[in-house]
Amino acid sequence: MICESCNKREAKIHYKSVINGVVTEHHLCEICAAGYKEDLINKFPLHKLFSSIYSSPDVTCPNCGLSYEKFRSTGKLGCSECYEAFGDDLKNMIKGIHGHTKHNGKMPKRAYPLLKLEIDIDKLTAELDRAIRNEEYEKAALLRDEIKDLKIKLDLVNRSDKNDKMD
Amino acid sequence: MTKWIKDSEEDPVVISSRIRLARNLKNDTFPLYSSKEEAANTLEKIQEVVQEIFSDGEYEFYNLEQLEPRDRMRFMENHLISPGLVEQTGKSAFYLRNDERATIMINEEDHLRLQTLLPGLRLNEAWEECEQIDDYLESKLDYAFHPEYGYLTSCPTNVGTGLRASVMLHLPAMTMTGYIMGLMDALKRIGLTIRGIYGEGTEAVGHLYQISNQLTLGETEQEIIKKIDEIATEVKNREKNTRNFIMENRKIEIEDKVYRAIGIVQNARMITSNEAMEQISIVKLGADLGLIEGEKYNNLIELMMNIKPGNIQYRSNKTMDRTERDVLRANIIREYFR
Repeated sequence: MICESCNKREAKIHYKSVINGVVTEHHLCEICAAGYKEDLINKFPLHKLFSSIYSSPDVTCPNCGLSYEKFRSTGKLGCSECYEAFGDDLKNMIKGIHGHTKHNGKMPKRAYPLLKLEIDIDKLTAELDRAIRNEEYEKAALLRDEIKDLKIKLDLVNRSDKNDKMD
Repeated sequence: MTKWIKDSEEDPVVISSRIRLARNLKNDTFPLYSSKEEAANTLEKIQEVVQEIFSDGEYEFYNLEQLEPRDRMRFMENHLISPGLVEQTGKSAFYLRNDERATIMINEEDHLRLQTLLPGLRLNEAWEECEQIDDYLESKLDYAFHPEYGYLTSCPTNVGTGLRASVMLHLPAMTMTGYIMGLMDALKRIGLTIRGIYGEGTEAVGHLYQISNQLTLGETEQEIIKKIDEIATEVKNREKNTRNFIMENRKIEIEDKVYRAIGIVQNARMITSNEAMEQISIVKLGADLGLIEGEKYNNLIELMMNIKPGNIQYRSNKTMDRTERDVLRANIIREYFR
């Protein structure tokens, strides 16, 4: 039986109400019964808005088998590989939603040690430039040493990567 | 009852701070599309890692399918699990830390939803705790991560940091004066959103609101958290100023409201959860304004949670119809305010 409030989920809570002697049966899902609000994002899905703007390519994800068409109708991706499979169309949609396509936050430390090192080196190099411009030479010397250490580390990781591949 | 709410009275306006991180495993089909077998396989992978990383007894494991509907409701009402996790019953499960401040949800819309929940305005602390759990899990699990897009999620609206930072606020004065509407517009412009936690449309039951980030890609986690922290502090001060204004200019009106609410909570024989939340919220305002005094007015947010349908049924240990619940709820509230 379907919930009478959201018309979507299965009803799990059943009760009768008596008003002026008239007995009515009610059937609600747990979420509506708990008084939870539907997320506005779900009510007015952004993907619907964007899918009307962007075209729909005839592509299917090779990993999970989800078609772009299906993604457009549900707004939900099927697996991590969909992000590659749906290419620029998905990228445009992401840009439309967030106004960006470049992640600037945290990164998995174990899986992406290289990426992490490269970004750290970039950040420190920018700081070094600033320090030199401001004539803070002591600070610059420290930063230079730090960058050197990171570059050695990066080189080591790179080499062990290559060895792994040769094995 | 809920442990996290116990200390929530440390701040009369900001009730709690919550961090949620969405994470997925590389290549596994996301839970909304996965078969029961695939979902069970993902669950098993995560369970193995959780058992390896965390010491025995630190977390309790629950499979949604094996819980009574009223227990699922109770966990949801206390904000320990999300409505989305309940929707995925059959595939979904969760680990709840003993202090009830951290939950590892499995097979919600994403394979993993990590949540930390602390009383008061403590987003940074909640972030540090959540990040640590994330690091532990990542040391053993292959996360779906893209060098450009960041953490990959089922819904493109969560991609990037996968972070939703939110604070729960009690804003009765700003609701009564209508300032809340202006706030809604202002927050939208900076990528944040404010909405009622319970209730429909723009109405917020019990004057309880949540401010959270809408966007997850582009800014760092620290930038998102800092923004919400600053806005919450601002809103908190605004609520306090509005309360002072009401006390100076419309004291008799607010006194009338508070004493009427006390009349209802002390005398009602049947009360719905929405009405109870409204009235208790006004009693709380009266206590915060110093109009009424007493030990019993110290933890009214906890009372508001405890009288919701799932909690009521948990307390009586049986499934009840609506009338039974309304009678029991009125009894609990009368007893509390006696």
